Amino acid sequence: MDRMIADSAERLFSAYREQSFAALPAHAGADAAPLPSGLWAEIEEAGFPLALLSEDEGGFGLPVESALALVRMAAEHAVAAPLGETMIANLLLARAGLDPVEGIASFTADHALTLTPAASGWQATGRLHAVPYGRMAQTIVVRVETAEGVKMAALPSGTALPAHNLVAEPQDTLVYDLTLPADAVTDAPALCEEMLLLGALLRAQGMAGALSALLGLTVDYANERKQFGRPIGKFQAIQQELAVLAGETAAAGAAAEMAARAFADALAGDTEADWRLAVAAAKLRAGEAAGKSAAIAHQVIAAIGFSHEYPLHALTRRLWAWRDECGSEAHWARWIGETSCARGAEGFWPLLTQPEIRGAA
Amino acid sequence: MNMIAFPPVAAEAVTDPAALRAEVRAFLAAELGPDYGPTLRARSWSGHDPAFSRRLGQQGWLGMTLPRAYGGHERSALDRYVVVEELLAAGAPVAAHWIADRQSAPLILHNGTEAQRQLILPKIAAGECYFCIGMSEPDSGSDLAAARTRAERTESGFRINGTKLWTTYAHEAHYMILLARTGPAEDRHGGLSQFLIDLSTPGITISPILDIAGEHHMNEVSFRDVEVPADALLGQEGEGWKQVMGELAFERSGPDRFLSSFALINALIAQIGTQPDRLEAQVIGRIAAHLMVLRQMSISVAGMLARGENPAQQATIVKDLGALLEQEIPEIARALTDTAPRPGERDTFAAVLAQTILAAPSFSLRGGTRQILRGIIARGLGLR
Repeated sequence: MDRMIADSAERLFSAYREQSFAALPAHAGADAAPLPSGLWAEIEEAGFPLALLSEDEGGFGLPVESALALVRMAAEHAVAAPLGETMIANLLLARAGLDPVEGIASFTADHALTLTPAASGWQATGRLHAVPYGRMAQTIVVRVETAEGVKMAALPSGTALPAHNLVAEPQDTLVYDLTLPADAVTDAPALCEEMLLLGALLRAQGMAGALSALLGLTVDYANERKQFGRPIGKFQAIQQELAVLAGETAAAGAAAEMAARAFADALAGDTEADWRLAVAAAKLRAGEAAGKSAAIAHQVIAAIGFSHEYPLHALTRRLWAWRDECGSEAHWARWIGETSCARGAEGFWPLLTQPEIRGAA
Repeated sequence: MNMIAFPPVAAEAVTDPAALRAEVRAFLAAELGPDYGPTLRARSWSGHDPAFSRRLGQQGWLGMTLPRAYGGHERSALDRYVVVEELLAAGAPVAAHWIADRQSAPLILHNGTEAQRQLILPKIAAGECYFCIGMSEPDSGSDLAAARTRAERTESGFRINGTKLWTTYAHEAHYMILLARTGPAEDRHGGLSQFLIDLSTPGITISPILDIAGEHHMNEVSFRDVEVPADALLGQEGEGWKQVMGELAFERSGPDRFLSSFALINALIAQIGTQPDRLEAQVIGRIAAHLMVLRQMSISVAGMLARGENPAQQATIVKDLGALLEQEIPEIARALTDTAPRPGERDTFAAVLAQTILAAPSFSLRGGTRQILRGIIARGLGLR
């Protein structure tokens, strides 16, 4: 990643780590956490919501991998922010030839919305479920099938029925019955067909970031916590567990990078490989790592790690939330498995090797 | 946490992998032929065929990264990776040259004398010279630094006494790279050196050890007053430990560390057919995802080795994760197919299952046990 951007992102997210943790409601069932005050303004100030856009599209020409690394970094600091959602929403808009939007934006794979032509545009009715940060978003990008073909709509927020995930991120149902101006609806760009995968791409990045922090936190704890007169990290039983945690974290990181590279290639249009396979595999692998790793971290950090005051749950609740969002391990495994089996045994290896080895610039 | 970073390979390290891959696939299809079925493929890198190794050498696919001056081809480590993974995926009989090409050649290139390089490397690249690994001993397995095989200085060189154990394909190899004690036992690491041992030297006895399937891959190699010349020393005296650790990075990270059960996966997909049910799809998809990620990690390690970095930690992680998957495959296959394994049958699913079940315990032993690997990772984490 461009060093300067990485450094400023690191400063930005680390500055909001504590505030973001403090914003978590005391009870998981209560409500979504509010965004830490000032966070979004700083993210916009840094230009991060445009990070996936090319310079022509109004972005600043950051490599796609580096843009996605911002999402990983926010997760590493357990900072709740609709950055990835806004980045992807702006990308979708750009791919449809529209300008990026100001403020928070989101997108959803739910296409339960109905668009009918109206006098001065389109009438939008229906409900969109589990829209990430739906209540805060000023723009929601969705794919809609209409009588005039598949369209992409940029919706305003709609009436929010609040809901939230395991780590108090908003996942609202948005209710629509309103008229959209004609220019809010366009022919759907190709990317629009893969809304679920775009979400999976973000969750894979997020899980990789959270896991990296989880490993650091757990190893530090094992080095500091003393029992039987020595740090518990000196016990082989603990070391073996932490080695597994490191392996899973490494795999999730590699998976997220694999997905980011494949997506970058796809956006650049310079590969025949199926980026969808890489993203699906990454989401699956990171999700599996998330479950295993969260269990190990809680086992090692033990009672204090189970308390609300200790920051472990800011990471593990994220991991448990994200592994099931935008397609669980089972979901993507089925999809990859169907794709694999359809090609037969002889086609399996060629499928695995279709992202051809390539070097990073 | 740098030790768990798997950076992408550098652009200049990659030429045209797609073309090379197509070339290797065409070669293998012609070379192995339609009768090369699942039973043979499932032997994975245990299949020993010197004629095949020589033909690979003729293709320029052995010693690929070695300098031309030593019979090599100055290809990138990633080109070599393409060839190696294609060989393994096809279940080609690569055992004869495997160790020589994977770890002995780079070790000799980096640590050997000019004479040693001239003598050995061209023959490895030609597929004519095979190596075995002289690390484990009866009383020194995981605790490699406890090696007791001793090399004593004589007027003309060294005299070697001791026993090496679990030595894969020693009975078909020309040379062993031997880890032996040249210093005092108290100097665990500093007292070790490596030697290039011609296995035809008098005093060396190679005895077979059959594995649980009754296959003869492993051996006991005993040295009784074996006199070797001074120039058998490989690298610096007392540097053996460091050199062995470098050698292990080559040994631990390749696609051989996650493709051992690949023939069974293929057989399983063939068994399932093109229209899997929900559970079958889920299981195959999960395996595919794991393989894709392991492959990316392994490629990254190849890139780091090519840059002259020391990815020992990453290599260890690849091997640990790879062995887990390899060993899970037969269990998954059982759960899906309800087939009893049948050794001795030819090319049936039951036969491939039997072969893989009987080979699987070794996957997390060879190249370092699971416990030792995790200890290494824990050290990398700063816990030890």
